[in-house]
Amino acid sequence: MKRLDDFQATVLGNRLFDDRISLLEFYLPGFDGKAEPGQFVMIKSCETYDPFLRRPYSIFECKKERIKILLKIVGSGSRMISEKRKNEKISILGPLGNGFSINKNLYPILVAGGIGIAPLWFLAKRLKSKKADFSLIYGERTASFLGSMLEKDFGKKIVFVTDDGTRGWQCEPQDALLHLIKKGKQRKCAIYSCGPREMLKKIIKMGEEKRIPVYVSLEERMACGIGLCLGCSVKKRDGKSFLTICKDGPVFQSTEVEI
Amino acid sequence: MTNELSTKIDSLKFKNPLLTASGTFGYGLIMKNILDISKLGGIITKSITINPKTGNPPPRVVETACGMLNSIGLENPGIDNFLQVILPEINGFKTNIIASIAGETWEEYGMLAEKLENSVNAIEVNISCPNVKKGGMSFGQDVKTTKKIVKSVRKKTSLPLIVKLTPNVTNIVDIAKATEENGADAISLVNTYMGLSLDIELRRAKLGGFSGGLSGPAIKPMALYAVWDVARNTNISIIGGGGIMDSTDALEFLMAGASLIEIGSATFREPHASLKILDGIKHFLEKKKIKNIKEIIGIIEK
Repeated sequence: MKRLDDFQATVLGNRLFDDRISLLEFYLPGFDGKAEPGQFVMIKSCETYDPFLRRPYSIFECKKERIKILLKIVGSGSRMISEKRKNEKISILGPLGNGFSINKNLYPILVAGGIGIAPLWFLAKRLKSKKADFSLIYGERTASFLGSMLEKDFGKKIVFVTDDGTRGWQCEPQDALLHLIKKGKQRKCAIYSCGPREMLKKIIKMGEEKRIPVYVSLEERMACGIGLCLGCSVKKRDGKSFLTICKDGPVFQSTEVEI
Repeated sequence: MTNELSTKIDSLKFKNPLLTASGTFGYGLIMKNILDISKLGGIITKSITINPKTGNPPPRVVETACGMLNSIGLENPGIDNFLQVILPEINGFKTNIIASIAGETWEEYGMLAEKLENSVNAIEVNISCPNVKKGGMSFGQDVKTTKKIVKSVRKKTSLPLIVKLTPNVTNIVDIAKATEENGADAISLVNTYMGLSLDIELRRAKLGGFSGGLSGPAIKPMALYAVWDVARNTNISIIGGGGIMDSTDALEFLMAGASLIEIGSATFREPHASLKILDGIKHFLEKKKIKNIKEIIGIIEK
């Protein structure tokens, strides 16, 4: 196992949009820039003890000594991190966990719901840089600035779906997925997904029925992020025991887990 | 100036008083990639049971003000796996390995101790887990059961015997005396405090196991009080802990009467916490020109 580092990072930039989404960039001295899409970092929101625990965030982008995360403000910890300004110091532990493994023989369909786009955006960029073809389905409640940014990066590779029809199709991501699968029926594909559990459940069901491999990145509250506390558990598919999301995941093949 | 940091429980020597609390350090296999384990006084393993345990349904952790509640439920691979798979990998750590054991019945503690006899440096008897249906905290809340378990483990092992107590009792001194009088060499104070956190939207507990054990800085004053109270009323060695985050906290526990300390949830927030705290203690001793750490243990009097 690779040695883990707790980086004393510096905020390089912080852009807030859509009311509660922050795109943060950090300088991590000594970071080799190596991380796989789906891996995450644990970020300390404050130097006092409330909130007590670090927060896990998928890596959105990284290169040598740089990491970006995409954060949604949901509570006091994420709010504090979102309020960090340029040049502020912050502790970042990582990269952690196992990322997506790409099967080159299968056409990748990426399905993201809401802030679940973060690891898949990274994956899409990785695929794009390798000149690999792929499709990306992005579902959100209503057309957002985040969606516009995504469109700028990936253009026609994206299928947008919104709850209110303000961008793309007015349906759920899994409906768009079904359409894509039917359209490309000769092609063998694999699904990579991250988003709300209810969405993941439907996508897993569909993928498994059609014998398409599905890989999901799971979110869960974590205390340590490195496999010590056994707090972020997910049931194994056999229903008898648990896997630890931070260490065994956060990316799992759907058949490994029962969500 | 070099400070003498070493200390003893029974005949077992510790190079310094820094231990990692059970359930917060795994078995050291992950942490060996993060810090130099040989610098620690010892590690106390995740509790080991006779049969593998899968643990409680998620969510298993929930954050609370300056702390966290956990309801892990003693997930572990069982004693046979520990002996055959884990132990060979951690034997080379060059620090004391203290095996935490948890039984569902009082007899199981003796069985576990017997199996560990020649394999580890000491045994910590966990009679204080608040998250299991059978045994756990209910044992440690009862003087008679505590006596029975300590006695039976004492018969089965020649290793230094530590008993980890729950603070969820009327009078912890009574329980501490019960362990002392029945052959324990030390006690760990304290396991987590029972707590509850509710989701008012969903009208249910936030933890899958309903209630949980509170740890972190939130419990430090209570844990410190328990250590001080037991230290002045018994003669047993105390491993003190509960919300230790930095060397100041650690020194408070030492001065209150703990001869060793254990770092718990701090490791979740700060993987390097234990060694940072050790450095802080060394720095303090140097600054105050204290040659031997024993000079400050239990120095606080009322």
